[in-house]
Amino acid sequence: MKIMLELHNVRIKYPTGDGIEHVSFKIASGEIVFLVGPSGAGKTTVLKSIYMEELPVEGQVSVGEYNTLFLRKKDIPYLRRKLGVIFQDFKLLNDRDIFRNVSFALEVIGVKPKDIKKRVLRSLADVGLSHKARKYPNELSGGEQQRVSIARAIVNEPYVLLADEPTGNLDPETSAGIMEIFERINARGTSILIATHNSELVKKYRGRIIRIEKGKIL
Amino acid sequence: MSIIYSIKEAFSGLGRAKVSFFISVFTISFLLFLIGLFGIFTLNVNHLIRVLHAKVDIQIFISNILDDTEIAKLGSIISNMEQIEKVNFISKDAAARQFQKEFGRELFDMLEENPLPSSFTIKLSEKFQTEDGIKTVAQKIEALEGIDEVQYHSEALGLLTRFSKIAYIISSILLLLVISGSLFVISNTIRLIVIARKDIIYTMRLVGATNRFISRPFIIEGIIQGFLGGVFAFFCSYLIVEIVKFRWPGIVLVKMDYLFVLIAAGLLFGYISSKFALKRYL
Repeated sequence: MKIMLELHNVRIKYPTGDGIEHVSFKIASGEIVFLVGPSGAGKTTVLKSIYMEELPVEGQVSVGEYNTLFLRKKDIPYLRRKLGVIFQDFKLLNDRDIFRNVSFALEVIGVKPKDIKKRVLRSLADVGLSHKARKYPNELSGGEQQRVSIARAIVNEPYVLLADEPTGNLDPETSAGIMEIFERINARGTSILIATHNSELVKKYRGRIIRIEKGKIL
Repeated sequence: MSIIYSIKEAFSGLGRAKVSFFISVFTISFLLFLIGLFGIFTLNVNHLIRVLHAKVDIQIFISNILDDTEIAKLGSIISNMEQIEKVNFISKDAAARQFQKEFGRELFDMLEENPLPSSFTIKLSEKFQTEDGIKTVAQKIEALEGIDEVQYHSEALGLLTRFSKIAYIISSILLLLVISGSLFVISNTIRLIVIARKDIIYTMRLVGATNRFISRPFIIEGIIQGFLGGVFAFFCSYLIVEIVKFRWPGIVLVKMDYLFVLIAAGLLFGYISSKFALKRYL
């Protein structure tokens, strides 16, 4: 199977002393992987190393044709266009409606307006929010806001979807709805890496599990 | 990358920060207005100084021992100097007539012959109408044979030159202060807008926006602020100039076309200061 991303012996250190060490794993095309560990274990740092917000001081990260060993700073935006990132706190823009929150990801990369409309409506349909396209984020429930952030993450048809505690703030029923959306997206071939501290959630769904604690893969 | 998207973002960004936007436009227009007034003042002072310099003549008194041929030769040497624009010859008789006209006949009644010397009055070409230029020419002429004395109003000339230098220094310092003030105000406003929108910038980065794409709306915002500031400053300066012209005709001596520079300066300040503000955040 084609490898979509790979971390090889990655070490990232923060001035506080936290970080990750000797982290290595691969994600193949079409895989769902759960990165499981308690808060502060280094899950977010692993994700940040993948979208290259944090660059390793040792080891290497490769995503598609991009590798931290050969990466130039100006390449980072282009790498991120190949990834979809979802956050626990959604990071939606409250000054614009749902349609524009999603279309924003396409406008940024210069997609033509008529294509933008088509792709945004398709993404909103994927997460079941077509009827709320003109609502603003603060008019939606937490679960709906998370679905908007998923729509924004998938609208670019990324290689890999990265989700950082995507159900962290949601009730079990809403969390199940979000996980179903991930399964549907995955069924179309998109690889997904879900970072979570919720071991119960992981048990209910199929997918490879990578455990992390104190910055090291167990 | 769509420029229309950046323009839309710029306007909605300004809409979200209305108060700081208006304060910024007002401050920029006030500062540019000051630049306009200093500019008008400086241009008028410089113009006045040029006019006064042009009025400074040099008088050359010729020795009484020279005959007409020698005087004509001397006149030709002087008029051939590159610094000289015009030479006027005043003969002994013409000088006497002038004297009698001003002071009466008494002196000539007491004397047997006309004691007044022949003279040349020269006007320098514009390039040499400076204190140094006049001094140089005067020294050169004084060194010629047959010249008794060279006269010009050196004190007045020195005063004028010193005044022109002081006016130039003061205007330059004020201009520098006002320009730095404008740049500071615009860059601060843009910085506040950037800080207020750090979430959107972060999200833009995550979805793969380039720095150029992220910064473009902010630069457009800076340009809009600078432009509006420039337009207001233009109209205010123009109004003041028109009022002064109407109330005190003759005070404003120079053309006002240069006030359009205020609009261009506003645009430029907007561009430079927003670039500067973004440099620290992107």
